[in-house]
Amino acid sequence: MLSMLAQQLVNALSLGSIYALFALGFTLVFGILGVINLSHGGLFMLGAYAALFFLERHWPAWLALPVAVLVTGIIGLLIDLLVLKQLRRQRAPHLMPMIATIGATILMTSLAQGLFGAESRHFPLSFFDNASLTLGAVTLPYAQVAIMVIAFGTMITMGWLLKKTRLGIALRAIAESPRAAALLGIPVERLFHLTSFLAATLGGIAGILIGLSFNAISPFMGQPMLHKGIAAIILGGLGDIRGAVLGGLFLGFAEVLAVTYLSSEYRDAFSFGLLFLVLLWRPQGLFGATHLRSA
Amino acid sequence: MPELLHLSAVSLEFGGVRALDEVSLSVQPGQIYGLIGPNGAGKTSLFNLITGLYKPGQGQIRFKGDSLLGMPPQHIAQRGIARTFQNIRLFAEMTLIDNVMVGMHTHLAYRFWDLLLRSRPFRRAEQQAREQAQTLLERVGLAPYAYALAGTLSYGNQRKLEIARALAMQPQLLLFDEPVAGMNPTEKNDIQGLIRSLRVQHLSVLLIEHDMRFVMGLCDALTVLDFGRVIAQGSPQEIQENPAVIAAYLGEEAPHAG
Amino acid sequence: MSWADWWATYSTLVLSVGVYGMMALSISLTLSCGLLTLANAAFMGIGAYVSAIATTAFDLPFFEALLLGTLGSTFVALLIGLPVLRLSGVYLAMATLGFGEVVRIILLNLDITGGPLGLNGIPSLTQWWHVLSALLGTVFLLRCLRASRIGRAFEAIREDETAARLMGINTHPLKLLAFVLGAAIAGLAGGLNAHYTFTLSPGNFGFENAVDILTMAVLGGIRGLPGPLLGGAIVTLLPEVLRDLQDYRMAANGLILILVVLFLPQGLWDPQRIRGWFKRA
Repeated sequence: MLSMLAQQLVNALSLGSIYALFALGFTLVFGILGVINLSHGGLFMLGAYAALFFLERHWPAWLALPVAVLVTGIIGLLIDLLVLKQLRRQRAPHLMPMIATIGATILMTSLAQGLFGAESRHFPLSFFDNASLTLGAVTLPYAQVAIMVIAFGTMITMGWLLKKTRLGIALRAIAESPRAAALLGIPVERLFHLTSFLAATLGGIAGILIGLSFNAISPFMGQPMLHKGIAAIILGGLGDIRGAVLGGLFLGFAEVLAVTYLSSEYRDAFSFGLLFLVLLWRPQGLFGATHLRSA
Repeated sequence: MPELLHLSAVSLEFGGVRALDEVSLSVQPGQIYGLIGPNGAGKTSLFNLITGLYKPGQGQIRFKGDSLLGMPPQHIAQRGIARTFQNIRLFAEMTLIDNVMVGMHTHLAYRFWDLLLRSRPFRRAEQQAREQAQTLLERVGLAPYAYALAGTLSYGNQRKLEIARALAMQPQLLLFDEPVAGMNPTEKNDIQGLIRSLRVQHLSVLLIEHDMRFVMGLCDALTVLDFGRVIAQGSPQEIQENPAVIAAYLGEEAPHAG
Repeated sequence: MSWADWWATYSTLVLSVGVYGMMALSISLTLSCGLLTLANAAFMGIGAYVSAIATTAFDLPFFEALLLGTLGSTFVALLIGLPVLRLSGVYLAMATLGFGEVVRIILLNLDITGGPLGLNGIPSLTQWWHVLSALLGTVFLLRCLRASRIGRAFEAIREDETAARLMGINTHPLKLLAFVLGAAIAGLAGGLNAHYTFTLSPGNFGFENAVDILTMAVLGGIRGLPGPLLGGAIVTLLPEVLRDLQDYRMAANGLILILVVLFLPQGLWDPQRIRGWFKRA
């Protein structure tokens, strides 16, 4: 009984770390660009399919996966340049970027479906298929270890980037007020592009990790993940980096434990019920400080 | 005569900074009251307090004897306070006449089913409102553009439209925030005449304006704010001779520097 | 092809143009007061399920079933609208999206809704004139609203909610009115929809459907009533026209959304632009 709990907690941590990674990118865009980029789910799916594309061409994993992440980042950058930047220039109301990025998601999903088929696929990777690490009563497949190392490693790197570097200081200044940041000589527009790129890479990594975790990817995987991302960033407080990570982890634990101890049917209803309540009770999020800009 | 608007010792803080410090003033019915002071003195903040957009830290605001504290902006407006904005807030994508008719919203008394049945009360009320709106537009000299979009007007004309929209609310007190900024002398004269004509209707006006000739020629009484504090109150004559006011405007002394 | 053959082939499509015209009008109502709510598909689902259960499980007459479906979605809208409409902007969009998911998941898991299999064998009761009169009724209702103080207040709220409140407009009840009325229209459209499609499944009323409905209103434009109707017809007919594209069909929808937002932010039917043409001519 106890060992089952321990095993579930490990599973929850690994799932939660992927949610957290996804939510981190999602909230980064909101915090800095001030828009909800609903194509983040599409970018997540794209990351997984880009990895599949290169792996199927027999690229080694150490090359295929980073290149796939890079490709996702570039698509994210393109969405910023072709869509979000134009809307910023037009000073479009905040509904417009949401609608346009929904369009971008549909476009990506449909293209993936056309190119790769609607059925779910799996990565042609076998090197850590069955190998696992045993720690007492808990069995840790190497894949799961790798996922957690990559997810937490990426998040720690992002945290360092935002906290300790000059780039991070500039980004945080923009999050406070783009206009003031521009007056201070910060190249706001260029950092918007960079943020979109970075956020997309985070989404792409999350997509690859989910693919590794469940050994299945599908063109439609972006939508449920987007919903979880929304739940996570609202739990954490929109635009709040630490809150998004906590929100993602929380969601991972809540889901795994709900499936284990309650019923699996209502797993998703649980997270959205929670989201709903949080919005009504504390729109600034459970973990977030009050930080509402132009929302 | 009872006071129409009375502020007593109203204070407002933004993140520890006092934007308004124990401001008191009262406006009598039919009075044109001026609020002047250098930029950043807290004049617009005071308007935002009166209209319910800000909540005061301390003090009391009474209108016709009732406290306005804690009342949402729409209820304050419904009680008879209308305002214009320093940074014009028209409904830019609506026509001039529709802008004015939005101002009449609370006075259009017909019920939901009247509107569905297009009953006689509905049609009559709408027709009357449209005619009144047209009259108001004539009064500010914008009648020819009644069916143009508000966003297409020149800066000065937008200010006039804001005044017409505020009048459409049939208020007892009008708050004008720099009503003649950006207008030429002829237009300023027109607006001065218009505001004087309001007194005949027994409306009260509280106005913020930087143009001293305009203010001094129009107002019955004035309050001068500097750094959120009242530094002088009185008739235009008294204000013009007040040494503290002269100092604040000319910057001879800088008691608040540093 | 004879008229009867043509109708046999295309009746579902024609009825859908009408039903989705209503859906586009329903979301345009909330959009016209500046609220992006993504719950309309869920309200359509509630209307569809309630009325279908009424006719199949309880043998109620069609009109009573439709009424029940409409009331059901109206009631739920009232219940969630009261708290949710305190939110604005992206928070409102997220909350309504979350609500839509909750509804979908509940439909997926209840016994009375048939779970993931959905409901089958729903009697085919919807006639063309039912859809036509419901559509005309909706258009009439919205036309009356637009030409009244309520319609002007909606527009004022969309442009500048604070300024609208300073005009003495009670914005909260008006937003609730737009939301609930939109839900009622969606509920009725759902009931009509259920009784010509024979089957219902929870997937019909999920996020994709919500996005389709939004696309219709944004594509058509919300500045006039013809806009949503036009958008509804185009988005409904598009998959038929693009049938050859197969898997890429949805890509067109996505591309349309992006292009419309970028280049036609007022939508296809923009009274000002149209007036502009006449002025120039």
